[in-house]
Amino acid sequence: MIQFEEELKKFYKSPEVGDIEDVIYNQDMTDATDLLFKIMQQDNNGTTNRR
Amino acid sequence: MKCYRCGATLTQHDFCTACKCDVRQYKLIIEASNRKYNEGLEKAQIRDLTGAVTALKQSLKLNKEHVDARNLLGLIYFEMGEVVSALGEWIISKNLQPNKNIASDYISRLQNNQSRLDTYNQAIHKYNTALDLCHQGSDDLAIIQLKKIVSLNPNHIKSNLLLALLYMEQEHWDKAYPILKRVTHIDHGNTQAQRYLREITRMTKQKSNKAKPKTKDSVVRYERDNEIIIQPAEVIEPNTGKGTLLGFVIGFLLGMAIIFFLIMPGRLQDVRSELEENIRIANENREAQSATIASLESRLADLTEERDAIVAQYGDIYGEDSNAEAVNALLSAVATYLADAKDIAGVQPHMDICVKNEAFFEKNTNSILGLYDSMKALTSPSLAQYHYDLGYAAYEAREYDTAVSELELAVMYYSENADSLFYLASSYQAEKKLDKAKEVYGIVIERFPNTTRASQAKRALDSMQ
Repeated sequence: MIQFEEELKKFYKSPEVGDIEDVIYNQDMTDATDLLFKIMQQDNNGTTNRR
Repeated sequence: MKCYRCGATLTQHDFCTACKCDVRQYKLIIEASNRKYNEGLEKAQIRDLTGAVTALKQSLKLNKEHVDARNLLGLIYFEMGEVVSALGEWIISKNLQPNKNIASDYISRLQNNQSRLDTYNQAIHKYNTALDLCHQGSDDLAIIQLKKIVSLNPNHIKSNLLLALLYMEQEHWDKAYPILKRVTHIDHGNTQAQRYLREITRMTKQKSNKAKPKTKDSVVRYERDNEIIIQPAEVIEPNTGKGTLLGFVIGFLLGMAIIFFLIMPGRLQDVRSELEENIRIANENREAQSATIASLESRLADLTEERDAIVAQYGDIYGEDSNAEAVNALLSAVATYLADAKDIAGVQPHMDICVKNEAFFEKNTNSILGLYDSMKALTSPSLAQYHYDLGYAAYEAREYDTAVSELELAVMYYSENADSLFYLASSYQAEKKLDKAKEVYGIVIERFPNTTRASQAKRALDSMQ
């Protein structure tokens, strides 16, 4: 049985043309490679610190 | 695949042959991103747009610099009616790879068609407004807004889903159904639309089951010739024999009644109207012909009167036809005489015409009469003798009528011939024209006294008294 209010919560507003800057700036551009580089960097720092 | 540190092309080894850095995990991530991109592409090709979006997002989460995945994601957003999201992805893609990027083409197409972009933006704005109205409880107003959106941008999936949901809330299953079918046509993998469709099917089935209760006595079973016959209870088997005949007779009588009372009067009226029209036309033609005839008769009378007037006018000048003939005869006689003076036989018929025509002497000019007199003076003795000879021969042959006509001509040409007069009188007497005989006998006695002919004439007179 479909509940109208529950279903209505699943709908959210669409960005308009004037909001496109916000759409682009708010994009989370972090991907897996960034995480990998971060981990590799931390590993390198740790090795340096241990030294 | 390029090395993330130095940019050199990576080989099958787990390290970069240029800078010697470890690239094993990096390669795994890139390969996973590519796999997700391929998955997204396959789903997009079969129009599972929702599934394609999920896979492409995962691909970009693994490798944000996957330009192809980003461009395809933008394309799918555009197909779903999310134009701004699509533009965002293409702009990011263009920033990551400015050259040889198809995203530049997509952006320029949208920017060049400003009116179309405004239409899309308008649709999105109305959708946001409709969503606010739904949250406020104004479902009817929201429906009106959403209907306009669907006309502006039919591919905007969220608008279609919201409108379908509102119809389902109002139990307008028949209105919600086609909208949801349209959504599944655009996006086969849209789970929300499929859930709504299942709900509609369930609700409509419940409704139809409630409307049509099943009855126990809906079928009838019976046996015939070792067979079990099952048929619906309401079926009535056709009758045979008397019933059929009666039905046929009733149907025939009904048909005849319809023809006689409904169809025939109309046909008769049509025929009657046609006949009356033909009669009217015939009468008009007859009247026209009568008028024409009257006109022609009047014209004929006028022409006849005119002709008579002309004949009367020119008849005085040239004479009647007989007079003209006599004048022509005179001229012919003159011409014949001039050609041969001894040709009495040629002159005679022409002169006879003149001498017999009384009008010739009354209506002609003095010139014509003078010419006649001259011709007569020249030819009368010969013509008199000519006719006397013929007359006497006829008298001797007892052909008294010929004798009369010839002797009369002889007397006309020359009246002082006692023999011509005597035999003319005798011919009259023989024809019992006694008055004329007496007259001519009297002339003989008077003009030729003491002659033999006179004595003979006297004796003839005595014998007639």
